[in-house]
Amino acid sequence: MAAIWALRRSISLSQYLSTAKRSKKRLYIIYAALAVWPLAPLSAQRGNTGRDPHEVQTGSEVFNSICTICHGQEGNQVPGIDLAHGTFHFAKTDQDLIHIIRNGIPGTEMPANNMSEASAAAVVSYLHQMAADNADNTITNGNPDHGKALYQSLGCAKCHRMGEVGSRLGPDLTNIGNLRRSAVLERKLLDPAKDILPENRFVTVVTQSGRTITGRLMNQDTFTVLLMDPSETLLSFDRADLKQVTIEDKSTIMPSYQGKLSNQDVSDLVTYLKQQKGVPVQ
Amino acid sequence: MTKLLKVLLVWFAAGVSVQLGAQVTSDDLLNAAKEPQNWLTYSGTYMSQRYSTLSQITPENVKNLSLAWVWQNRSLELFEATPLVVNGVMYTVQPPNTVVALDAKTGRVYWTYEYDPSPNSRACCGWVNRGLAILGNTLFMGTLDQRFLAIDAKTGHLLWSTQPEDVPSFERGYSYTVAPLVVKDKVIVSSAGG
Ligand code: HEC
Ligand code: HEC
Repeated sequence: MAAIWALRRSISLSQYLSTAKRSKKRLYIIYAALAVWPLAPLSAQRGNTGRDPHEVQTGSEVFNSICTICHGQEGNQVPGIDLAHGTFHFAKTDQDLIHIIRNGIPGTEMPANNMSEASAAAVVSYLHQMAADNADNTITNGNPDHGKALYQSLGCAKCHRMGEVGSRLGPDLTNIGNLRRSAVLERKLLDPAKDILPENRFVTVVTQSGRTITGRLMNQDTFTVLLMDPSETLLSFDRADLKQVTIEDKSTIMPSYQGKLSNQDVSDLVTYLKQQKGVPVQ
Repeated sequence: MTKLLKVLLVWFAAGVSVQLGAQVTSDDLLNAAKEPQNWLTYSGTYMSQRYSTLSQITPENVKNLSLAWVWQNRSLELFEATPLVVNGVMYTVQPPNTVVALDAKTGRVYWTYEYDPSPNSRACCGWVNRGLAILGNTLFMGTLDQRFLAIDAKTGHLLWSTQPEDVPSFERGYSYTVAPLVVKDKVIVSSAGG
């Protein structure tokens, strides 16, 4: 894909078409280029840091697996240290951060981490992503009881499950407090279509007989699409039996609460969601 | 408004009821012989004869059976589980303790729930599991390290997990490999080993 993108930049498509012989291979390349055409600029928009979203994702995985024990998921658990707002005591540049992550801070609790420069750089990208997320975060310490009341009165359970209550159509929120940071939850409530995680996507299929079904994408491969319809029935389709398959990566049934909830309401709801920490294990 | 939102709103507005009802009731288990298209307990029915009354396969035509699908297990341990089948969805256990929901017609996987038992589990005769029980929309499984799990049959999410008291620890070589059995509102499971 990178190669095609580079190709697009260096010569225009029409130039390319005029020089292209009518070989099948060439045509495939053009189709492929057309297919990625709208994707490339969009994926660049996703993070507001301009960093590669895959790198940010890798960084978040590393951060959540080895840094959160001390720094916490929001990066502010070590007293006096805040990794999530883009300013640091000891580091001025990304290189400084990479150095600290790999070598630790001698004489303090901050350990050296045996990781490659690339992994450390990915973590740094994630630190910047957290800062960008937090820049427009207005979450204050909310009232979780009021958040719970809002969760119930707004009908979140029509689409979401918490424990053994609610619909399975949307993502299960039982463990959401462990999985997402406040800023991310706030954004989901205000601008839900902005960042739809791949694992939460819906799919719309149109069967050869013209039936349209939208549901939660459970699984898919070259030959199949498996989904859960709004009545929670699991369905499995052969792609050959489908006229159309649309992965809903830019639109969601999750309503936006922008303008419908006060800042305080949003904080209350997010505070309640942050308390959801999974299945109690005895 | 997006098209997707419209489609779904029509769904909700039309009051299409979300079936939150139980899929498998204890009456269904009691009368399992009446729904031979399903396989609701390890041994089929409470009679435990493991005999299916479906009549499509007969002694005469059994020689004509051919492969319909293959699902590749990601484990080198032995398969000892008899799958459950509920309304076209097949539930089985990939040893040691990974639960899988498949489309019974095609073998395609809806979801997988992975449980890694403690590496200190010591089962006498291989890291195996004999299967699941179901009640409502909940699957039950005992694990090699003596935990007992409840899993959502639609999504594969863990609902709860418990370590029953008064059973000898897995570190002493006890394990759950048996398929649990649901009777009314109780789940029966027993550990073995030592
Ligand atoms: C064992 C606990 C521990 C772990 C694990 C840990 N840190 Fe730290 N870290 C600390 C402590 C404590 C400090 C503050 C050191 C001091 O100044 O006393 C710190 C400081 C830092 C600083 C300097 C902050 C500043 O303001 O300049 C950065 C950056 C940092 N940690 C990043 C990370 C990252 C990234 C990871 C994971 C790869 C990580 N840490 C893992 C304990 C930890
Ligand atoms: C009409 C159905 C619907 C309603 C009502 C709804 N949601 Fe959602 N929600 C979804 C769907 C579908 C997704 C997954 C796609 C996406 O990310 O938008 C989602 C995603 C989310 C996520 C992100 C989950 C993740 O894994 O990060 C959160 C958090 C969330 N919703 C919370 C809520 C809360 C709180 C309410 C009530 C105030 C609510 N939702 C109401 C359908 C709904």
